[in-house]
Amino acid sequence: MFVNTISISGRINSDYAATHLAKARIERARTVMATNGFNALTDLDETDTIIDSDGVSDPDGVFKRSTKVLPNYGGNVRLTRVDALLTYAHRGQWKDNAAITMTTVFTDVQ
Amino acid sequence: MTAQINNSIIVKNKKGVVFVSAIVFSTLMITMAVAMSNILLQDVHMIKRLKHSTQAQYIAETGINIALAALADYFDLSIFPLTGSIGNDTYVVNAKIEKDAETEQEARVLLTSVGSVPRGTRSTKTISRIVGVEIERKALPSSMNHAISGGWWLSIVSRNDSQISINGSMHSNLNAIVSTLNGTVKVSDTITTSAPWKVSICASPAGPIEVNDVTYTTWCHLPDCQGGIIEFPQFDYNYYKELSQQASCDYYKGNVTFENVTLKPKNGIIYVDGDVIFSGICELYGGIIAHNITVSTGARFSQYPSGDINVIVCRKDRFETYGGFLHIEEALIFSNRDCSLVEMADTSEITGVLTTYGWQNLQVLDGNSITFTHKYPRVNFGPNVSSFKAVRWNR
Repeated sequence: MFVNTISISGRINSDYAATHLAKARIERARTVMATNGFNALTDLDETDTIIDSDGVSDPDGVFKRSTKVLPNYGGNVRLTRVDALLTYAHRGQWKDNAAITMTTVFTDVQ
Repeated sequence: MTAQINNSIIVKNKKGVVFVSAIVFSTLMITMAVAMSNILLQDVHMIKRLKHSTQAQYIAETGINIALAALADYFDLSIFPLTGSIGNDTYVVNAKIEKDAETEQEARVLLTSVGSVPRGTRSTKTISRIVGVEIERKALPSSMNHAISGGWWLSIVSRNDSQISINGSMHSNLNAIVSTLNGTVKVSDTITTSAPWKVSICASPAGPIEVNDVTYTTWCHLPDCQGGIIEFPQFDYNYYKELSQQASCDYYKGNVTFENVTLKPKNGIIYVDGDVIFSGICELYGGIIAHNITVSTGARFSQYPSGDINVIVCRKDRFETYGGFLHIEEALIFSNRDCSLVEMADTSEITGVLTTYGWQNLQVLDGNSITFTHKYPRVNFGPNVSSFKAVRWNR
């Protein structure tokens, strides 16, 4: 029971951290857009980057992040959709079915 | 004997202590386990709520951004309430409008977006967040605040029993001259120039000039006539061109003469990659853009508002008539260089705004008259000429 409790507690911590990492990725996109322009959002596109709990790229990290950047959302050049997907490893296994996804759409209209 | 009995009780009591201790210990363990489970359960709920709440905020922002992009393409507030979804997440955007009393345009608009995310795959309940943004219409170019304005020289001449009436103000970024010779000029508001230039009034008792309720009958400089430098409108010509090309019969590749025609452009705009001459009796419902526009001698040209592109724009050089008749009901008349309306026929009337980068030359002779009435015309400058900005976010 205690072992299970500790295990569940670990997953809760990972869930919490993954949620924050997904949110941080979307906020990063907002900053990139503000500093480098709307078209720079596509620079954030990535697949299965292994990161640590601070969001820094680390081959030994327990989080895996994918960022999908979809320009021309809905056929409108002024809109770009950004999806941040976060998964984490638990007991050495990637929990892909427990991925955290944050999605938003940015515009170049100020 | 008594000692034996006491020992027996103690032994029995010791067995009871172990039993009671086991019960107490088990109870404690169960209580701790239940408490920990509760704490874990609360943590699970808290994190789920955090996750859904954050996503609800982003879907609400999505709604606002989609609304802003739509307004940038075409500022039409009738699109609200605007609804949409990404997967199971939904947004509803509403607009609250405050209008400017003078221009009757939407001065401030508050957009509020409610983003909702289902609590679980099987749940009908949702978690919602609200995001708001206040958008402000950019002020119209200052030249549109005047009935007639020019970037260089403004010349108004009324001769031989002619009348020029201007209901509104006039401005020139350089100098201005208003003169009469047995004619009259009446300007209901101010005439201003940019410092250090002045407004010259060339009036006589037989040719009085009235400006802002003061009548002048001699030559003079107008007192207190200095204003700032005005800005001119900008247009997204590609937008207009595309609109006219969508309705193929409204786009002209080269010079064109319209003679005795009624023009009703499908998307409200005729686009000519060349010069236009109006001849005979012509009517236009909406706007027209060309390199130069000429209303030929004896021609009668009428314009009526239709939609929100009521512009008469000369991209290259000039808008002119020599002995033509104009009846403009609501338009922004803009010339990239000069506007020359000379020997206007009959009783021409122009309602809207007349502005040019260069010279404004207006002459009425021989008993004819012209009346200008200032009115903010309905003009969509196109998506690349942003008409608003987001001034305040509430995330």
